[in-house]
Amino acid sequence: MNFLQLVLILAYCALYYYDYWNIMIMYYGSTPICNGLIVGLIMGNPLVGLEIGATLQLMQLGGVGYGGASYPEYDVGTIIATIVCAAAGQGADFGLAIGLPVSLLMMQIDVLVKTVSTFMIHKAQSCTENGNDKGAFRWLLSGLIPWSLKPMLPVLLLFILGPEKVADLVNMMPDFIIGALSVAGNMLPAVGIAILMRYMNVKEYFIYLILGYAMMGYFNLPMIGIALFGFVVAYLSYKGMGNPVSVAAERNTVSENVQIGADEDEL
Amino acid sequence: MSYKVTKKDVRDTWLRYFLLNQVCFNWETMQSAGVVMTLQPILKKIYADDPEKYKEAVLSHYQFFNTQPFVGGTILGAALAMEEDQSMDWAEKREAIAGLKTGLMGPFAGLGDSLFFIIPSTIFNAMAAYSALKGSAMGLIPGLAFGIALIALRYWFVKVGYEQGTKFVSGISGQLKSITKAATILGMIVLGALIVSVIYIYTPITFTSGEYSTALMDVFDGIAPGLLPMLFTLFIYWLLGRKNMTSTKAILIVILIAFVGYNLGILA
Repeated sequence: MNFLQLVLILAYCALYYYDYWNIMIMYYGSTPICNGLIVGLIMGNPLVGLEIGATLQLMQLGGVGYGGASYPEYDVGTIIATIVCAAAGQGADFGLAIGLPVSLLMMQIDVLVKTVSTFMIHKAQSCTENGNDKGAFRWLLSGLIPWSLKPMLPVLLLFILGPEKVADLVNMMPDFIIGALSVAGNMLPAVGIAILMRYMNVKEYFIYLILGYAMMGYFNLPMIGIALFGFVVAYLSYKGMGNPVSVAAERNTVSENVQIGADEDEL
Repeated sequence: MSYKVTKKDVRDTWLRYFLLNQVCFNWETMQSAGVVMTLQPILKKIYADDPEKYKEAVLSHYQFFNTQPFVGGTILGAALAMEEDQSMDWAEKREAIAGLKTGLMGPFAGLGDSLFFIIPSTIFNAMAAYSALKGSAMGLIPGLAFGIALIALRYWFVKVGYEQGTKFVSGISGQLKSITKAATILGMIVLGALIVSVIYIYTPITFTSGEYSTALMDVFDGIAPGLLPMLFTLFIYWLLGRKNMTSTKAILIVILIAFVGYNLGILA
């Protein structure tokens, strides 16, 4: 990683973090995949970035962390893993061994950042109390600084250590760690999905989970196909067609119409 | 003289909220900084001739605020309409605005999180991940387009909150509930599909008796494809419902299971 690459990646870190917390556009595409793609481009290997981003994205589907909770930052893990893999010429599997621990460690930094922000909001409030609007504005806006620094810190640390050195460290890891991490990587998406199920009132809607499960398990449809089928079912429910009361009501009107029709035929 | 909020004021208020809704997110008051930065300039205009009221109004918005930041725009729009109304008794007005914000942020967060965050991002992110695993970045486009399209909706949320105030707020929640229900159905179908396709659990165990050997994995696949991922997900779901269980602990437990399973030759 040369100095120019470092600067570009740091600038991108500030940009994506701002997007993730305020604008929220890349978030809908996929923050880890955007990160892998762009950092990969800067490092000269976008393909490995895409693959690492996709692998880590699948672990945190739904982008957990609602209500201000700390969460493993797979988007930062993607950046670090992409730099290491691109610099050392390694594949995406290798990146997982570094991306996963970094993602988990980021939660500690999250606590620190929210603490610094608490200090800043107090400063802003006391400025307002003293009638100093400009000061308050400055403190509030500086709230962007600790948040932008958050993803930059591990990148800087990686630059100082040297990505190749970190890759050598990962290379020295014995198989009982690397192999186990790759098994864990395949199982971890279950946590993300289970968290989403906790948000979504599974008890009432379990039948639809089975529908999706069966469509994928037995027909192996592409994701867009599943989403389209799902959309049809959701639309029918929105129109009230899945509601037994309205179905019964509709049946009554229909049978009435039929009877009227039948009467006319007789006449 | 009471100040009349113009169309441009509403647009500027939205723009500030759009750009800074979660700035300086902190432990104590969470999204309050975004609220203050959104409302302060317009409060300056509304209370131009009364610096004391202005200060009190701005300070009151430092109170704890945390909601889904799209529908949150409606709450702030409604708060703006109340701030503009100079006919109200001052103390009552401050109480009413604080009550509006605290009363609505919870229900709005629940609705907004599932409708605008969890369900669409799960679907779009999964699409992007599948195409990225095949080496293509094209899968990002539908999600990015959706995010851009939402900007219009986010503006509308602020505008309608200002124009119709609390009336709208109570009127729409019934409508939003049926949309949320439909979106949850779509989300559950996608999640069910993801369980089979994203989670990969393989066991190399084979039973050998004489000349016959049976792979345990074939037994599971014979019962139903993706049976292990489904059971494992339900196990994690149950785990997350236990007392003192956090998602971090659950992740560490999964890593532990993988370590033990891999090194005992149960998982591969």
